[in-house]
Amino acid sequence: MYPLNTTNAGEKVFIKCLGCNCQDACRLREMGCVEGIKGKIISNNSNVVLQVGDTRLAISKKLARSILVSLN
Amino acid sequence: MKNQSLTIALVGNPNTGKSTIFNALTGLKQKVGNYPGVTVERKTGFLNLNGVQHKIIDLPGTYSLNHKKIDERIAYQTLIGEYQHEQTPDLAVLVLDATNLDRNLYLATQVMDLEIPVIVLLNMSDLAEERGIKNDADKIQKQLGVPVLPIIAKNKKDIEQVKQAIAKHDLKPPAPLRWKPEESLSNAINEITENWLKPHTNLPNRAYPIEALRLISDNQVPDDFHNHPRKEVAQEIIANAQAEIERAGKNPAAAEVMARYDFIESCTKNGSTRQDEAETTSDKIDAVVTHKVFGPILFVAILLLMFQAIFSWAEPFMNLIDLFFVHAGNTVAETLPPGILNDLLVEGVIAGLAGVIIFLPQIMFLFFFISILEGTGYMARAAFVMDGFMTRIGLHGRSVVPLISGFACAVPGIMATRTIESWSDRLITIMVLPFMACSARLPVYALMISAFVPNENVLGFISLQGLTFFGLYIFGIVMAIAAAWVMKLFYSDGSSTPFMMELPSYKMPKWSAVFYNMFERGWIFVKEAGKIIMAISVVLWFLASYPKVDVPPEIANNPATTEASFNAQQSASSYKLKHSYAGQFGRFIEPAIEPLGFDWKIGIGLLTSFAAREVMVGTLNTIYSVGEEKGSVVTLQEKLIKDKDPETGEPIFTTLSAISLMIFFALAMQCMSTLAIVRRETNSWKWPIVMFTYMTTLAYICSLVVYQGGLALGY
Repeated sequence: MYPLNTTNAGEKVFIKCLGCNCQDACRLREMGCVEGIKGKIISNNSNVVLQVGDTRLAISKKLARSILVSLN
Repeated sequence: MKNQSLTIALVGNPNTGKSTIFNALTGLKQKVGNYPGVTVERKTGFLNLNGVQHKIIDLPGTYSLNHKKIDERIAYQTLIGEYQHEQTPDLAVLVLDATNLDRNLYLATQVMDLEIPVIVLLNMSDLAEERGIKNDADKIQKQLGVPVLPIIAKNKKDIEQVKQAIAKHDLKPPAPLRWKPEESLSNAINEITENWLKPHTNLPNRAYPIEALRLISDNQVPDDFHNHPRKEVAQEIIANAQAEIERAGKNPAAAEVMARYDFIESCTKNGSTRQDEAETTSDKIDAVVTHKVFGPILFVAILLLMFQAIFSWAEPFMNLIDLFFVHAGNTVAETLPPGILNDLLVEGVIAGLAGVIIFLPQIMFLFFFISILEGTGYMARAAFVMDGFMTRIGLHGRSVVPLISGFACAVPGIMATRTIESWSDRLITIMVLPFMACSARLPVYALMISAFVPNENVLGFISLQGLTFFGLYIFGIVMAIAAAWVMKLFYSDGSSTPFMMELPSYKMPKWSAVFYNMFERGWIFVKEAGKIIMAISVVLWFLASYPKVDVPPEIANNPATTEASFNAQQSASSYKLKHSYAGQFGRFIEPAIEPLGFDWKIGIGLLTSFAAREVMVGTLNTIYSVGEEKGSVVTLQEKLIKDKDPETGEPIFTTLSAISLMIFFALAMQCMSTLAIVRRETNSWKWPIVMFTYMTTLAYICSLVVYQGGLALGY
């Protein structure tokens, strides 16, 4: 498992664990970024753009660091 | 439903087209845009169906009912009937984004838990189809047990179907959903409901499960309990409930979400299929637009181009308007018999209006560009690209969209800060937002720049005037940043939340909306500015024309004034003005503003512009028209350039004093409406007073430094 901010653009990932504080994790889940779902990295230049389903989420580096993913 | 007037709420995730549907149903023209959080307030309108009038409420978009931000809380409170003692809506129309059904259904299941009758609309079905997403509306309808309509909001036929569905709805609450909180979670819900919500809160029964789930998923007892006398009790009950879920091996924060998503999956499995996506155009654009290096460069380039275009494209239109008012003035002057009425109309009303209306083209172009940026979906990217930077200076990425709206007007900008969760981030954004160069400053900048900055080209295609203009905008931004950074040192409650925002798919802007917005804002400008300026112009004309004094013959026939008739006239009228009421007043405050390079005429303008900035130009126009020769076609710019001190013969305005004036306008808090909205959004007079004081002091100091520094350097 890797923190989300270490991935590269174009990689496909599985969201494994939302290690951020409850409120932020809750918000991520509400927006469709739930544990176990498949996502794709659109860009990663310190801040990350993550595609989950048809939602494109912009996530700050700090938050990305606390999201653990595994590569496909 | 038979002939009964209903209250119908439009509910959905941000940016799913609720406002578009609202406009289509009510015939109103609410603002729409392609970024999350355009609607931050409830909007109400009326729909006439078969002779019955229904009230439609457009709610701010929300991802869930676990409200955290003000705009989301409004949606939640409305739905549970807690919003200003209103009843719960009779019907909720859920607007879901068909291209992203799973996430949108999450909110749908929560709303259905509230036992409000619902209709589900799958909006943007065309886009979904384009992307190879197939939604089986029938299957979803069967699973949810409520009417489900796939629609395209801009399609008249589909809107007609929506109306029919509303008319035909039986208004029965939906059957309980089959999403099942597993045992530990449902025990926890019961525990909180029985021990806390029922005995200690006034919430309506229907809100219990949602409220209980919210308390379970949040590890801090939410803010609304801070003042509750029994908050320790609440904390204990919630902790017990959470512990129970944990004993069952679940994460209390995730239990609800997981259970709901399990149910949603069962709804859309086979009901909604998606082809494995190839790299789309949006992906390619985003790879560049959100790039660490190219992103910010592109952002600045777009702004630069925008302001250059506003300045150069608007010019022909401005010349036309100018011509029109000169002719109107002359026609009135010639037709009416000479006298007070003639003077009042020509020198007061027409001159004052002309000075402001001339900037209408620039304001419309500004809104044209802002609408395009909003409509395409670029705004959300701008927020994302600038987040790293904004965090460094103590703001939040979400502050970017309000700040950019501030270029148009601070008032909607301040309203848009409601999408910022943290109170300190929000307050600081509000406090620095008026530094963004709003459209009311544009007339002042444009007048001063076109009169005192040479129209030369630098870098081949960008004019020095355009560059100065851009520079002033940048100056406003830099000051906003600096102020935010300083405020963060003094005021921080540590509640900052990390940046997370949905990026909408790129779309061609809806041209009808772009043009509508452009004309609408233009009209508001004319109407609002017109009202104030008419009134002030008339009063000012009187103050500047009376008392009538006799000009001493040595000034009237002053042979020393070389530039023949124009300047002789100028100094005679100048003498009259100086001895009028307005002149006396202006000279009274002159000592305070003289160090900034302003004379008493500007002083009058500064005072009137405390009502609204654009009044400055109308004021100057009125002042400079009083006592003018009839039939004069000299523009205000030329009058400013040629205005000389009658005693020394030095020009009143230099490039330096013009710059000093523009800096004063860039920084000073001269807007009643902004102060009023800050009062409303912060709920106290403290912040508007702080804002007024610090901005105006800063403006004075900066102008002083620039003017005196410039003089010392020999400019």
